[in-house]
Order: sequence, then structure tokens, then C-alpha cells
Amino acid sequence: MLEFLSLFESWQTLRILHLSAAQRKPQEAEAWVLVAEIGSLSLEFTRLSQLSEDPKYFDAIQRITDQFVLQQNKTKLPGMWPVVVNAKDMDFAGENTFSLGAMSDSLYEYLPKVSYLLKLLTSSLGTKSF
Amino acid sequence: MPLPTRRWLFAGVLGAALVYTLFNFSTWRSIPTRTGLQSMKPISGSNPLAIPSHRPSDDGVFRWKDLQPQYPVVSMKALPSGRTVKIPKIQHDFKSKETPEAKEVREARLQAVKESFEHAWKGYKQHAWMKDEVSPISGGYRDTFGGWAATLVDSLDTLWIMGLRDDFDAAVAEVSKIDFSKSSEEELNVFETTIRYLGGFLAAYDLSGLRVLLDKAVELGEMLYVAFDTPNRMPMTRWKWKE
Repeated sequence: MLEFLSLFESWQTLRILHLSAAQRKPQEAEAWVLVAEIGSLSLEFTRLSQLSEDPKYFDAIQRITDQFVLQQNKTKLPGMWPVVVNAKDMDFAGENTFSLGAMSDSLYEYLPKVSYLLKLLTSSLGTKSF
Repeated sequence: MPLPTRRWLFAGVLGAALVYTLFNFSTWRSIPTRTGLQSMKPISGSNPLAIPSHRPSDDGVFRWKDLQPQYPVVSMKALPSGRTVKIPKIQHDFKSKETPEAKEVREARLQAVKESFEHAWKGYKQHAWMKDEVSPISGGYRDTFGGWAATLVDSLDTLWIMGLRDDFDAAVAEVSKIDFSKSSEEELNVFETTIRYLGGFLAAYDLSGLRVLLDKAVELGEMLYVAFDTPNRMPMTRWKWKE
């Protein structure tokens, strides 16, 4: 009897999960993204992981950071990244417009800030990116 | 013959003892346990890389963290550990070597900045309370960032730093009412939402230590996390969050 009840509860929970997943359409990152938008989430997400002790937020933005680091010297102006990047195909090096101003600036602003937050002045993020 | 009989007797007793022991072992292990999701204990503390198993709440309240990801993360990257570096202080030390004249000038400027903020905050309270922004010329309001009181959340840290504690307390009292499951916006700007709301809650929490601010940050983080549910885990930046 106990096992029957627990099985029923599990099935109910699964049913709720199934409904929730079914309600959402599959999503995909966009092919045209402002670099400042995708590159300026790291400070907040890193701090959230530190304070909540849930690594998933840091994991989420570290994947983006990894791409920035990997492609930094492959862009048409090595060292910088273009204003527009392709998040769908993870191509951060294709475009040819560069800026330190709007739509781009906070990407660079966040590099030292996140380094500070992680106290990693000697990390690859810190030295390579600078 | 006496010897074989004793040998058989000895074997028999040993055999019986063995069977008895094995029988006891098996009944001990087959104590019925509850099966299914309820027997999955959350992994906590010991392994920071373990993706915690989450038992969804069944109280009928919608929670972003209850959604099952379509493209779940297989191996979680952890916050870096190991040797950290002491970073020198970059802020200017105002207390040292300041002449009384210089102090007077500095404090006058500080006061001017504070008054400027107080003017803006008064306008927000009067014309756009709990809305995103004041429309300064018309005296109305606009909900340009999801309609969750963007100016209020974004200003929490400034209120604290400037010592406007009554206003800070009044603003924080409203924070728990913000409902991140509802918005009139069809498409969320993930970047704006992160820097204004998430940044706002976290900065205010870091300054004040008030638990409600961290709770709200986590609640918002759970929502924004769903924007990363894509095949390559890159986030949607202009996110159709209701779909």
C-alpha cells in the first residue's frame, strides 16, 4: 500500500514536469547578438553563484567567457571582439565592426570586474584578456 | 563408522549455520523502502560539482526552477578554487592628508550629488512608484524593463550608500511583492534584466545583508537561467519568455 501511494505521487510529479516541459517551445540563441549584451552577464551571475552556492549560474556564463577567450585572437582586430556576434553558431570572430563605446563597452568593463570578484589576477581570463 | 558420522555432523551444523546467517542477511537487506522520486535525497554540500536533484514543488505555485531543461547541462563548471591573489585597494583614501578647506569642498560636492539623487527619487515616488521609469517631461511613467519596478531595484544600493535608510526600508518592503512570473512584456531583454534587477538585488544584499534581497535575486536567477536552455547553452538575449 505504501509503495503504491509513493508510486502514485511520483507519477503525479512526473505529470507536472511533463506539462511544464511541453509548454515551452525549443529555443536557440540568436545569430545576431550585441556583444555587450551577451558579454555583460558575467558579473551578476558569478556573484549569484558565490552567494547562493549554486554553481549553475557561474557555469552558464563561463561557457560564454570560454568562447570569448578562445576567439579573442581570431577576430579581425585581434585582442578585441566585434560589436555583433553570432551566438547561434558560437562565431564571435566573423564581423568587422569594433567599438569601445555603446553596445560593446561593458564587455570590456566586466573583464577586470569578474577577475576581481574571483580574485584571479593571474588567471587566463585576467592576463590573456588584458 | 564413528569418524565419518562426526564429519557429516560437523558439516551439517556448519551448513545450517551458514544458511541461517545468509537468511538473516537477506531479510535484513530487504526492508521495504519508498521508491520513486521521493527517495532521491538532494545532493548537498559534499560535492560542489553535483547538479542538485530538484524535487519540484507541488503546491500549484509556478516556479521557474521547476521547469525541466530541454538541453540540460551535463557537466557543471565550478567556481574556480585554489590560490587567490590579494588585489591592492584602488579607492582613494579621503581621510588622509585632507586640509579643512578641501574637506569643506568635498562635503559640499557630496551634498550636491545627494540632493540631485533625492530630487530624482522624489519624482519616482510621486509619479512612477513601482513602475520601471519616470517619464520626466510628461510626469508619467513607463514600464520599459518588464514592469518590476526597475528604478526601485536599481536604486537600492544608492539609497543605502547615501544613508537614506527610511527610503531604503520603504523600497525593500515592496521588493517581496515583485512577481517575476508575470509581465506585460512579450520579449525580455536578458541583459537589461540582469544588470538592473539581478545586479540591483545583489548589490543591495552585499551592502545590507537583508535575506529577502538574496531570495529575490535567486528567484530572478532561476528565471533568467531558462534563457540559457539552448542546444549550445548560449543564452537568448531578446527572450520570448512566455513561450
